[in-house]
Amino acid sequence: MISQAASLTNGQAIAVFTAPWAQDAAGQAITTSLSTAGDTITLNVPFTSSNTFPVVADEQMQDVGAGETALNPDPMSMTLGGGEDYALAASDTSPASATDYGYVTMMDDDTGQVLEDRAVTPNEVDPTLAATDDQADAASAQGVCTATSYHAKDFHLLGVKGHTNHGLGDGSSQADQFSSDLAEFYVQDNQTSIQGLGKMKAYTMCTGGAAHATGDYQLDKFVTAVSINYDSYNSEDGTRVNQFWGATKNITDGTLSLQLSQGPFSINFSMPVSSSGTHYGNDGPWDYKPNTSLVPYTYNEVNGEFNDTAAPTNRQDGNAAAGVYLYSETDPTSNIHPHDEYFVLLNKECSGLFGTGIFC
Amino acid sequence: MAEPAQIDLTTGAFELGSGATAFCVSPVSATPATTVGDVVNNVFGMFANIGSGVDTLLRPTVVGMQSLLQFRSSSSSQNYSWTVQLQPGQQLEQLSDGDVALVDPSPPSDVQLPIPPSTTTSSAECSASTPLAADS
Repeated sequence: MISQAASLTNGQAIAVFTAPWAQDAAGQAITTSLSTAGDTITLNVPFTSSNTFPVVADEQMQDVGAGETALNPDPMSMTLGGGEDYALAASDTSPASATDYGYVTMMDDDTGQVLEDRAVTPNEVDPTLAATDDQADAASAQGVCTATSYHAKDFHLLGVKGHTNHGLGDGSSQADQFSSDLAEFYVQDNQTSIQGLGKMKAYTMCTGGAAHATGDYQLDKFVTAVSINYDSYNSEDGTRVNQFWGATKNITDGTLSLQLSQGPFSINFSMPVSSSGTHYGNDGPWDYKPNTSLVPYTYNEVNGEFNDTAAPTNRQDGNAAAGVYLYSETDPTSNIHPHDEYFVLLNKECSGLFGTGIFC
Repeated sequence: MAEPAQIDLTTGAFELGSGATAFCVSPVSATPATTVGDVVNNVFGMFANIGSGVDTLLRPTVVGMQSLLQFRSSSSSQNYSWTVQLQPGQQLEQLSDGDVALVDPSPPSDVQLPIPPSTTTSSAECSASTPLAADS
């Protein structure tokens, strides 16, 4: 699960401190670094006066030794890498309109066999998708992502879809922007406590090229940055409760473009859910309702917006959505209570692609 | 079930791991203006001025701890440090990808270690007082 740490020969890594992402208030990424001296770890965030403040850095300290235990407290846990895991992806290469919801592709990530490949319908609820768990496994098979145990509980993926809904350099009004829904899902339960008192939920979502990607399984029009937005909708009346304009992450550094064109990449995000509290982050202007208006089975949507500032007329299709999702095997009507806090961060991409990761 | 992550609200120190592999992480950049941590929504431990011009939110995750650092202005310190309470033989190792690993000279990872019995104490002397936790 920790690709670099796993290669240690002089001992066993029991924790990893990841070099964090950082960005200023204008979304400008700042490259950070960690250094060590004796028993001290120092994070350096080399911002300058030209940055817009505040600058935020997101340091992750991962307890490797206890992680698996924490993630697998009961038999309902699943372990990635098993033969029954499927990759799951949805994409659309020829969006006819903003309501073209694309396709879902399910693959056996061990054999590559396409098990299901079809169009999805808006707001589709497909229980069979809940039996899938990881794109990460497929990534792992390609050597780009080392999978680890993942807890399969508390979350039920009821559907996933991807679609394009903006211009693709084809003369439409937003030719410089490609936007795709990365995942849309329902949260059903946060009652089960895995680590104790909190109500944090961490999800990992992977995206990657898929069957309907232009160029066959490739995200072949590379992009400059990806920003993850998180929208929440009230499931009863469909109104948007809030929206988080997520962090923008540059995914074109170094050799990442090559990695991306060859296989899936992932974006980790977490969404703690609390019985009280506030939305953390930069709220968009769509806070039509207080967070407490969310109800079980609230419709959640994660949007990824891919902005190619270097070549805005590029057609950036071929995006796909897939997911590693926790799901519950319990009665979905039980153990439900409202979710009223959202916290979304684009943390760090999949291990192997961008360095050390933890999920995926 | 894993023990809740412990955060010392007076110092911003916190404990990760459990049993024999528990260890304490303490900020070393605290200033006289550092505030006693506030628990926000039972999820975050929030510390203002944990460094010079730096605030932090500590948030337990399913696998450890997330430290969100806010550098308020250009006069804020660009560096922020933690001290890791190392056990004998342990060391911090810079990885090629820029991350830092806490390495224990224990048997390789393919050796199945016995699960330590549940205990209310740990080997780390992290004077934690407030449990915050994540339930994945």
